[in-house]
Amino acid sequence: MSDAAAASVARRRAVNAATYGAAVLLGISMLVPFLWMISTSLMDEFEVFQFPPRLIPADPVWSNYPNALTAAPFGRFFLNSAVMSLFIVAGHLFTAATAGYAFARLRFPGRDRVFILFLANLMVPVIVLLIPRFLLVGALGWVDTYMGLIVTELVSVWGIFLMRQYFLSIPRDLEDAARIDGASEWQIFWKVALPLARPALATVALFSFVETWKSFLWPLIVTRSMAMRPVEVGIAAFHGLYFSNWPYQMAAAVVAVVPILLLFLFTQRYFVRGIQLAGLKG
Amino acid sequence: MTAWRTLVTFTLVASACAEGTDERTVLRVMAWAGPDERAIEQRILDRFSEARPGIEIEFESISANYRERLLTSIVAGTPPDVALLDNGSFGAAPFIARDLLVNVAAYLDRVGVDTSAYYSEVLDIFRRPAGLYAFPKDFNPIVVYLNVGLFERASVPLPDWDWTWQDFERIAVRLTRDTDGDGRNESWGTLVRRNFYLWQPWVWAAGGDVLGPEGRQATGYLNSPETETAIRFLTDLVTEHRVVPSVDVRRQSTGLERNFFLTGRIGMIWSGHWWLPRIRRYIEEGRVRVAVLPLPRYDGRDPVTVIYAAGWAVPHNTRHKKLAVELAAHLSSAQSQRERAEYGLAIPSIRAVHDSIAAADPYGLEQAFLQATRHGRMSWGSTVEEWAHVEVQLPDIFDRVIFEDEPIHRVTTDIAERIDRILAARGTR
Amino acid sequence: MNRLRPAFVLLVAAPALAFAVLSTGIVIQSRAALEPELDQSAARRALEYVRWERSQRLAELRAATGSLGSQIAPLDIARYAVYDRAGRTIERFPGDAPLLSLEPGTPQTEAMLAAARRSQAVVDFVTFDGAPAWLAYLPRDGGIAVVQRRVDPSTLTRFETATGYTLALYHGRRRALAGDEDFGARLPGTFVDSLASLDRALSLDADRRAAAPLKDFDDWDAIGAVVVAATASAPALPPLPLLPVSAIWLAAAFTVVALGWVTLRRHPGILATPLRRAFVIALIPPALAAAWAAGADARLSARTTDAALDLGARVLSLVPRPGQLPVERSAELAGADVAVVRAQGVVASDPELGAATDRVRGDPMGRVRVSGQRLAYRVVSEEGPPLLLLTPPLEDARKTALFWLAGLYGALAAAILVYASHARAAGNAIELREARTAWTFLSPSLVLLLVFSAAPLLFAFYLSFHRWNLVEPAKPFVGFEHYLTLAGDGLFWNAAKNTAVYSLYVPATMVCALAVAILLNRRIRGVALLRAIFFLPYITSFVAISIVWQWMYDPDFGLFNWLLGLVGLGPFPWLNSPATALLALIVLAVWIHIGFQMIIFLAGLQAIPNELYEAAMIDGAGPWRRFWRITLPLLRPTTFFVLVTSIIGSFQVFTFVYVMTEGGPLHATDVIVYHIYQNAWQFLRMGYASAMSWILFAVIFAITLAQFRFLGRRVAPS
Repeated sequence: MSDAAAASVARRRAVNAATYGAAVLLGISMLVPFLWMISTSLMDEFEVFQFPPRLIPADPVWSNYPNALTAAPFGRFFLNSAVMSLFIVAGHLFTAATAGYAFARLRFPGRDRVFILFLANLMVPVIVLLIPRFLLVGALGWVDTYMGLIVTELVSVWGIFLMRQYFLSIPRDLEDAARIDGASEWQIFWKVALPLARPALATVALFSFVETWKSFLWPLIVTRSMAMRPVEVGIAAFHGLYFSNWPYQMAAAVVAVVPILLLFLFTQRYFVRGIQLAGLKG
Repeated sequence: MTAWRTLVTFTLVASACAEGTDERTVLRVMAWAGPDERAIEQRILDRFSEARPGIEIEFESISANYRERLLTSIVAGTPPDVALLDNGSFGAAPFIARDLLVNVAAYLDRVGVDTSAYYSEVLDIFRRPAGLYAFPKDFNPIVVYLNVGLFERASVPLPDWDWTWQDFERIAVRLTRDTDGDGRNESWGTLVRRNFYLWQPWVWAAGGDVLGPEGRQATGYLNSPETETAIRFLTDLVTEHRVVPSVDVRRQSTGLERNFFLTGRIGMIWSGHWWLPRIRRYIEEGRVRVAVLPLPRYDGRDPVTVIYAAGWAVPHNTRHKKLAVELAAHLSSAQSQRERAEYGLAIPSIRAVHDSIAAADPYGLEQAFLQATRHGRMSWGSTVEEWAHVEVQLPDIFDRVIFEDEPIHRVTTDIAERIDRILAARGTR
Repeated sequence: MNRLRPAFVLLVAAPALAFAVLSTGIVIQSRAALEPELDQSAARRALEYVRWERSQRLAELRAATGSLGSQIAPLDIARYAVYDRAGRTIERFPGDAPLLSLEPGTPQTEAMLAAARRSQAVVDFVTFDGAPAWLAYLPRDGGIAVVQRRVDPSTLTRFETATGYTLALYHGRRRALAGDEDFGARLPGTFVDSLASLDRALSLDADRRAAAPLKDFDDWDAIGAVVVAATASAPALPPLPLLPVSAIWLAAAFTVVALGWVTLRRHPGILATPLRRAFVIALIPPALAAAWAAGADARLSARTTDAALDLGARVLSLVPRPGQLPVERSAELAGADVAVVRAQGVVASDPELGAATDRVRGDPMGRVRVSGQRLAYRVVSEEGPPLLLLTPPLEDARKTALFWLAGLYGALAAAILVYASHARAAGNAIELREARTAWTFLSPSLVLLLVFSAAPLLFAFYLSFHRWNLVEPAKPFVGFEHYLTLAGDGLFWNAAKNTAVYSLYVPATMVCALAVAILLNRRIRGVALLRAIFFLPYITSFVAISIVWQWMYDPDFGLFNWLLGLVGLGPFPWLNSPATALLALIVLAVWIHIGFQMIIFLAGLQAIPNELYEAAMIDGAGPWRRFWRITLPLLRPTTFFVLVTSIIGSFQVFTFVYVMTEGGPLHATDVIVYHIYQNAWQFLRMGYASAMSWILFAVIFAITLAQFRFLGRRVAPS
């Protein structure tokens, strides 16, 4: 009996080790281009794009980082991106949670049709919407302001869809129980459904942040002055028409990733609740 | 409620910023300056605004999506007061054809511009019978860069300035070498690019062209024997002589090709003056040795190259016409050109400035540019409104000849017909 | 009873209140800045009339001098003279009249002659012999003709528009035309001194006066100023910059009123407290005011436009013969049966004009569409060829439309709500409650989406039936032409095919991402780091990634071929061959999106209760069985979500094509959105691009609908 258990544990260990190894290997393959980005950011123009490829710079040019970050008002860029992201993420969380909940949990006539119409907003390339949006924002006097950067982006249909799907996958029992107990719809949403949806909210927050932080074309079009530009647009400033400073651009890109990574590590804890308990039992 | 209060406060602040009063005059300048040029342009602009109290200049300069930014601001009725336009990707031709730029010819005296000081080849790009629509900034003829180190390693003597296509091909073959015998080349003679703007001069050199003299027809020109000679010469470098690495998709814009040249992997590359600022620095640091030559000529014909130029234009509906024209003239003035030339991304369009730069150049690299300018022709983008649409058809010729192995004449005839349809459809899309 | 209340307050009333506070706040804080701005806008309008008048004069004088020496209409041309380049008189008319103090040597003469030598026509406005006059200096036959034109004092002396503003005209430091004497007398002396160097409109003082420079004919030098002051009877202008805010506010107010009405019907007690009652009542006046303001602005602007046209008509009535058009390019109009004069003096003879004149027949004034542009017109001459005076109307159709649009949205939202609540009125109370809650929850997203997403979408739809090159405002209607062209556009269908092939990355990525998610959904050492690593590609700047991959894909110097070379494979052409380029892009897409989908799957996995796994393990189910029996079925909503959104996204791929391949080689990576981009922004064919977008939209919509039909049912809520 104990032999069999021991064998089972040993087998499990082996399987775990194998999957772990596989994950690490896969991870490294995911990492290579990024490592190369970092190494490029520490090279000068002669050293980049070498053949055979060389990952470790022979003589790291650490000054690329301070140089890149002082070549443009990056502090201001980061502030703009932060303000923009803060409001847009808040907007996305709010609209996605309420609308997603309504589409998943509340019954009303024409619900699924309205939902498809919501989804339809995802289906048109932004390229052709630039002009009408710019005219709208221009008529509102919001060109080159935070309002122009933020207001058009406040709703994420993607987030609404995600929340809807998540609410669909949570059992209804708790809500029905609350309803029978006489809780109001708002109380059910706020006190029962929303706490259960934390992982999904974390996901929406994370992706809204990533999307906002990385958004490029609209912020580029709607801002005019350096003082209003977010980070991603700022990075593009290293890109001349005839000449691109790749080490600088890579350095700035590496730095720009940091806030997203921090947020990611923060939202991490919402994704680790699953089957590890099952693992412990075995 | 706190969140709402914050939002309201924030919104109020944001709109207060947006309001703006009419008491100051703001001139907006749009250009595609890269990081190094931006500081120089800013200095030049500061000089203008310092002399005029109460005038502020907003300099919007990011090269990315320049076209989209310019067009949306025009569509929204808020065009910049001065915009940089060229005869390539950001062509002035559609604007001039529709009378959307201020004709500055009437103001030359008042802003103190003497057009005879400019290279007439460059001035012509923005000139029409009715007038002049931009003050030239600077320009770029296409020349050939040679990596001297690679020539020496391959024991190939540097060609002389009056070289021909045969010389070019012969040298390219000798520079293509597999030194360590592993079956892979370590160096190549040259690089052939699909982007038409880089093979335009070869077509002219062979006596051919893409469009007829009026710029309204391609059939009979693009598929003429002369044009096809040029296409055959370039594609043969790829398929017959194999003196180039794989056909480039978009190396040019990523900076890979210059890196391959600098590190001695490619011996000869034709490109513009925009390579020079960095290369000059590397030469000074002793990291590379470079020679610059005019493009080789076709045997029995005159040398020729293509000129790409940019100019400062004033949209017709600017609210500050006088200031805008003055600013455009200031940006194009000799002093501004001199400041720009110290960095040297392109060649000053004022001859005297170029001469003095060339005279002061310790490496003699500018001489080739002086020579090339003499044989320069403006690209079709200067005058043909639909050029952007025409130009993107042309890489197909290379693709079909190289990848599909189609006969050149069939391809060029086919593409010429397509271009003719585009040109015939003027104003119907 | 009032279960809805907290939700109501938070979702609808609070935003509405915020809007109200917001607009009030803006009114207060910008009121001071607004007043001079209003004055200045009036000054600018006045200035435009004057400028227009000048350009008319110039053209008229040019036309007149064309016939100099043969037949001169004495009534029209007061005097003229021709000088040689040195300034000596060659001929003059009338022969004995002293023409001008244009004696050689004076600075004024020199400046004029210099201008004329540059082959420029110069028109100037002077006070001559005590009367205002237009003068033109025209280079002619090796000399300069100077022509003086009478000014009908009634056209300019006193100028009152519908806005109720008084206008004074200064030439240099002197008052050229007298308006209200007092008004002029009170101008600050320093201002009068600096008139000539005035180069922008400014407000003069707290008297609500504004001045705009009066420039010479080509808008170069300031030769005077237009000063505008409000008369006592001036109607208050609506706060123009606030209109859009009012419009949005109005939409919110509509919604609030509708919701309030519904709530009130169900819960009469909701207005029990005075505070709440006050709140609801307080909403009504601002809504009405906003509606009035928006409408009033349009009406007022329209009246001002009409006044401008009237003025123009009076000026035009001075033209001696209808056949001799006061226009520069009159020759082009020789064969046209109608002439159009636009406000800036630009003349067009347009094929669509025939239709336009048909529409204006019998109506001397109004609005008409010419070449897709909305213009205000006035019929000037009833005899001979009809002459239309056209000008862009001052009322801003965009703002008005925005206002109506917002109102419409509000009404729509209200209608839906009313419908929703009444359709099920017979049903049970809980369902009714849910429906109401749902619409309350949806309303903020709905309003924002309608304004910033659906409206632009409809604009694109409108454009797809028009031709628009972006650089000109005209957008002629072309019907289905773009859609027909599209059917025969081989490159578009090639792009469509490539897009469809590219979207195959979605299932491939989903398999990988799900595997990785399950792998990393456990508490093992360094799992956070591993997840971050998988997530990295997605969060990194796409442009930076493009560069790295372009290098890795380089056939001769890249990482991939080097690695493959080590094991004796390759070299592969990757991006540089039509056969493999699209595949290379797909590989890149998989690499990027694994981390993206992994996170969503991870979040989905959290919703699966552990108890199920525990129960399964007790039953002796192996990991493989647990995956098929528990994970996959319960993950279905997430899987469905990933599939639908990723497919939608894959059809819109653009960035990598734009940065890495530009659609090449040989159109192997040309995808629809890149094709749309090229047409819209490079070839300036916005209408055609819009048509393509709508086809793309229809296709994605159909695919999504199919997915919902065949896959979505199983995940729909019961």
